[in-house]
Amino acid sequence: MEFSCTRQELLDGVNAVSKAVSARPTMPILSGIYMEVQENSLRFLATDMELGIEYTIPIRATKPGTTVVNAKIFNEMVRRLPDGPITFLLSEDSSLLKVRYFGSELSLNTMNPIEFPVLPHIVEGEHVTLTQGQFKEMTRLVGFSASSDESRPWFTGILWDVNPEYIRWVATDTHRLSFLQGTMVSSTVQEGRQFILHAKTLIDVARLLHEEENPIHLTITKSQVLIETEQMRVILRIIEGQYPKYQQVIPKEYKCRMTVKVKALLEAVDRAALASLGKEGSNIIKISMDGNILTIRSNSPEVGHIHEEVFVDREGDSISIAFNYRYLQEALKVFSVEDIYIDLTGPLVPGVIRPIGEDRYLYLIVPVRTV
Amino acid sequence: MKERTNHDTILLADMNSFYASVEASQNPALQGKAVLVCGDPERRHGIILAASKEAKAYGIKTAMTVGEALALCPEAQCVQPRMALYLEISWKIQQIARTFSPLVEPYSVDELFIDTAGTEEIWPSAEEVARLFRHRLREELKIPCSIGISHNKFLAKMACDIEAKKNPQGIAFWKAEDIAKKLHPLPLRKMFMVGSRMESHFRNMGLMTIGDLAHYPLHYLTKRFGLRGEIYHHLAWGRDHSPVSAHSLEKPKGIGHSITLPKDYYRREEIETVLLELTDQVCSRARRLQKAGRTITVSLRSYDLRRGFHRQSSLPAPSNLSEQVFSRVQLLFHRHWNGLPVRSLSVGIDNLVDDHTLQQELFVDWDQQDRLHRAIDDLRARFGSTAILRGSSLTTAGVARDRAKKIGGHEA
Repeated sequence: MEFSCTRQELLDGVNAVSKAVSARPTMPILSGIYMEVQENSLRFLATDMELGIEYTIPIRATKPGTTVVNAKIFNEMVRRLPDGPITFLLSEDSSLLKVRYFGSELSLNTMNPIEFPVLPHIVEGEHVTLTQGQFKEMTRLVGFSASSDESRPWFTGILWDVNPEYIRWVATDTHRLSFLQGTMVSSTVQEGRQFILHAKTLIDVARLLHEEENPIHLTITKSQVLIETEQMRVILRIIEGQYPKYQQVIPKEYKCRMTVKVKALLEAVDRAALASLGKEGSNIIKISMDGNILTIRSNSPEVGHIHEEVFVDREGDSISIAFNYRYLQEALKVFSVEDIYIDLTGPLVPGVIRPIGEDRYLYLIVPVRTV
Repeated sequence: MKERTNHDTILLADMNSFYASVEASQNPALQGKAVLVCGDPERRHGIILAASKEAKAYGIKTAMTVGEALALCPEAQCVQPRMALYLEISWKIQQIARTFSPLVEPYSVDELFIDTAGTEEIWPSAEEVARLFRHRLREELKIPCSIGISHNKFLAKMACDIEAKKNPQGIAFWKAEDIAKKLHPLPLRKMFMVGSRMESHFRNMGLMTIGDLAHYPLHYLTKRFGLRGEIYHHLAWGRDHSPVSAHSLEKPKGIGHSITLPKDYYRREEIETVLLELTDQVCSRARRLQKAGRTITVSLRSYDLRRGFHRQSSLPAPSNLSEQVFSRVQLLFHRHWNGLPVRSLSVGIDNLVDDHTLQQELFVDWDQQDRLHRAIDDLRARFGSTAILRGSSLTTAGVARDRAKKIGGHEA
């Protein structure tokens, strides 16, 4: 095996697959990254048997071959290499990978590539194709609402609700919920199908996508999903468990609708959050309204208290409600529009935030009961 | 304002063999006899909780088993513990202490700190307060006690443990010059705040006495033990700045319940039944105090009392509802239990905040759960803690009915 490439190309590949290397591998070989050199491509592969990522970069190869290197060491090495051409050489009678850059040379121990579990070829299953831009929008608008609490694994995922007519994504940690309806380029899904995929992994995958218009293909089997682009193949397990019926918790009506500038509200919430920080801080901000003034109040015994006013357009009742400021702040940060609706029904009923002129998305925020 | 000249104002009063003394004070027939307060030998609670002065003379120590104790002194009188009575007497002692100074900090059921600072106009000296306090306890409650006096809590406690308990007056007064003379020659295991584990750490570092610790370079201690190293260094020099706080018990930092099981528990469901009962108790106490906590702690000890775990996990929002807390308790238990038979369990919640707020959730109506639990609390307050029980508490694994009759795990 002999090839050369640049540090940046290597870094892209190694970073992409490192997410799939387990911190506590069940087999020694899984602590490695599998590298396969063909005439003009280098394929990286890593897996922890739950998640597998394969990433291909173009290179100039003199001699094809395969090897497995320790992921942690290789990652650190690539980071420290100088910019400029780097040559890799693995002779057939040796297990030492020689890495040459300028006049220097580094020899790395390798593992036996035959032991490495390569990703299965998945062809059977239902197919869904999206644009990469749509995939990224989905992770950006929905992903952050998923939970990190492993005691209810289904809430750590994003629900894919696929029908012949539509595709919808939902994520919730039960304190807030994001919902997005998207468009598919093509789909072979005949009957409605729901499956849950780990939100963090999808967010990681989205980071590897660079061409908004290019397609991303999904192949969905009973227990696994294969995500493919030109450069990348990712296999991940479908999270088991019954996702609750999300449609039932989205309020259909409202008693109060406010039209709010995202920027003004976000700044006010950021400042109000100051007074809910600290050891005794509850993270709670209280919202009330008078005429066209929305008032945000928060206090903590350590910091003090704050009173913020935001100008809004309001129709309907005046409602007092309290939220954990984080759930409001995180949502306001993802909007690309300037104005949003905030729909409220009562102090114990979830509030709904919708971007104006974009009815594909909504964000549900569950209040905190005070007194 | 009058300049305060006398700083030696802190008293630590320790009731001698408290439970045994209370029993003797209630029953003249026991006075001057070897009295043992001990659990029921049949149910493995058979250890000595307290032994009177006369019993201790035979070599009986607290935490021995009843069998061992009776072997040393066959004529000793065994008495079942009456926790409610001890708490009542403890309360009366505090009330007497408060007639001397408002700054009284109950430290445990049988120990309390009194700070006489500011009472100079009323009482001539701290020693006089100590004498009067002892006198009143003896006259009114027939409870003997030892008192240590010094300029901080640590030295008062050491003076009491080391000197007052042994001298006939029952009072010891340590001044600054006693630090080198009386404190430093003591072996480290006698030092307040040093347990057997810390002692062995220190012994491995070649430190045998409190003086050794005091003269050990501070930076080695901080390197090894962090901030705690610094605290030990200052304590070894008799420096302790913690104030006597009359409110220390009013603001609980955490709430916990533990139990030593009447027999080893092997099965997962049985252990979970007990964990659920402990969780219920912890949550109901939190609701009574109007507190909710974010950090859930579970500890478990296996049959040999050596192995086990002590683990924490945090909830997304503070809670005092059993269902929310128990899901975490269960998770910790599943993750960390290695399958060994279980002898003792405990459940706790920390990071307490006021429970005026309750984060609502999608899919579950916690507001309703909250109201349900408060209704159950109310029923129990009016008709007793067994007025309403979970079905699982009626299984053989349940301990709630048995525990309802107890305080701190002993007969009320």
